[in-house]
Amino acid sequence: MDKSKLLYLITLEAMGCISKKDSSELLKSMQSEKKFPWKEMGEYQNLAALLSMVVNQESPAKNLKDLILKEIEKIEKSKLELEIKSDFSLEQKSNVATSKEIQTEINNIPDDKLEQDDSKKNELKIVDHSSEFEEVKAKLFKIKDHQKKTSEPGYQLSEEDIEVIPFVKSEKQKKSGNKLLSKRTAIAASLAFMVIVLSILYFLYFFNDDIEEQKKIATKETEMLISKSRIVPKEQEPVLILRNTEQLEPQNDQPDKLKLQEERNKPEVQPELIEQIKENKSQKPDLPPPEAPDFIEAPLVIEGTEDNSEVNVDHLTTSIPKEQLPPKEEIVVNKEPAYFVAVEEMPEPIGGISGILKKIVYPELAKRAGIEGKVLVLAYVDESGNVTKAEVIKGIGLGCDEAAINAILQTKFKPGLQRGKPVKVQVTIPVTFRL
Amino acid sequence: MQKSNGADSFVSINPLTDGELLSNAADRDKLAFEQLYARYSTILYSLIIRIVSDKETSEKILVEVFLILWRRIEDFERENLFTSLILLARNKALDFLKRRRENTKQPEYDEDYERFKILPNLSKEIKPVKLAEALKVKYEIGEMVKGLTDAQRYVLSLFYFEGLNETEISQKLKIPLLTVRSKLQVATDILLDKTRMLVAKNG
Repeated sequence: MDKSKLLYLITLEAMGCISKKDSSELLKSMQSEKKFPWKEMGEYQNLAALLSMVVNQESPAKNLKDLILKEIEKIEKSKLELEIKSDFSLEQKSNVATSKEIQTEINNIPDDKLEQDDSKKNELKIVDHSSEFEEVKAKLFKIKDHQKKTSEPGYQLSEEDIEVIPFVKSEKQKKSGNKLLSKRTAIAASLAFMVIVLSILYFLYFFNDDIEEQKKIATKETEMLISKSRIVPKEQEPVLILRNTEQLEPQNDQPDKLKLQEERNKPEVQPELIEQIKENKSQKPDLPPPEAPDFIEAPLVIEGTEDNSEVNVDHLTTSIPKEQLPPKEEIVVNKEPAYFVAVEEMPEPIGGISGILKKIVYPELAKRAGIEGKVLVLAYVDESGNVTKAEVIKGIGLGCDEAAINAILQTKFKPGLQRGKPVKVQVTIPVTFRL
Repeated sequence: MQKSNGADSFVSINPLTDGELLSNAADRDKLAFEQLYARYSTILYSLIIRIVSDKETSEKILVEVFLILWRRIEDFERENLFTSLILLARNKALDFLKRRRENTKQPEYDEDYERFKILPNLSKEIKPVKLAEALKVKYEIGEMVKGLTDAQRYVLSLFYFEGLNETEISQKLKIPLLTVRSKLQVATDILLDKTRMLVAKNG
């Protein structure tokens, strides 16, 4: 390539915008040309940098520095975590073939623990849990031979259990501020994460297999869940619990699960009540249609607890369609806990918030009424960056809420990343309406 | 060396050079990193906001620029942080602008993309420019740019601040591609000559 052309490409590159074709040509000659004008290139680049001095100087907001320092801390933290976790990923790989067994085996641990349940032991349990990991590993290798394990309802039952519980526990641990933020906690957390991933996989596998059968099993499961947990406070009104079991009939075990999860933390055991529940279930045809009271009842119960799962609970209860659920819908509902609330790298709208604002059509009605304000929208972003669902958390009405939802549904996101992999995340997006 | 230039004075508070701060920061010294931020945040932010003209986004981009500095601190040359950082911020802002402007499929922003398209590909033989020096000649550079013809200045700013490539500029201004080329070339050559003189004068 002659020198003047080369110099021109260098100029283009230094001044900002070079087409892809020119850029690769320049790169090629940088590697191959013996007499590449490095000196001139340096001069052009310095010139380009110096030209930036022309713009009006303006300081960024003061809090930006803290933000950056915080982000840096996060980066450093995740680096450390990665180092610890790399051990586990190796384990996981070697055991892929027996993933089912891993799962059932691991599931047994918390179940056993739950037998001697005591809410105050929650923190201790996590430690036990992690210390048993080694044992479990040893067991796993033995189990490799017994690959013909049947998939009795009991197994899925424990799977369902663990899907919820490890999260709650680890959250609690964090909350209680105990100083076990050492390897042990990290191990326990990663174990929990592994289990969740596995159980979700298993879950999906099962649903694909036979939805009808799964339905039957699901009802059995929840029955089992109740009898297994056997933990209902004496003081609690039986009505409340009965209502929740009614919910089982329309294949709607989500709030029920959550309820159970809360009950687990309560110490008292009352086997009689379960008998009652079971009896009640057999009378189901006589009972009035359950929908309405359920949806009022479930959130009420939730409000009473100070659980960290509150965010999840919130979107679960609100997201269940009010009408009778066809089985397919139920699958969607069941998958929802897979939406993370916080991940290492949160999803970002491509084009930024301002990109969303551009898509908004200011509703005529709101314009005329002079309505301004902020609409908070909860968006569920999937792995590919699409918004699968959006709902208003706080609205201002007069069509603005719908306009905000529409704009967000049309927006493509950069998916949220957890350990470098795209995951489902729910994000709250403020949409400001200003006339 | 330190005159009564406002920006100059804060540089003089800290006797460490950029290179020293950079090596300290590479050893995970957060204080050194904070000092680098204090030195460069204003210049970089001003440039970014000139390009994307939106405060919120500019702040986001500035954060990302400094995070790139932290993550890839080994890739930065000790002796030429000024040019590296400014070109990095410029590339990052222009990349954002392009992604926002064009609805067509843009290359995925991954490690390699950041390494080859966002990080400036600095020349092997580049004369180091110090921030303090640059601040000193700020006025002269402004004068230099003013000395260009309107057309030259406009074409240059379309490249530099709008991130348009030559074809896009010729389409936008409805002028032949060759004209765009000559305008850019003449403008940069004039500027280059003048900076050479400026550097010679300042030693």
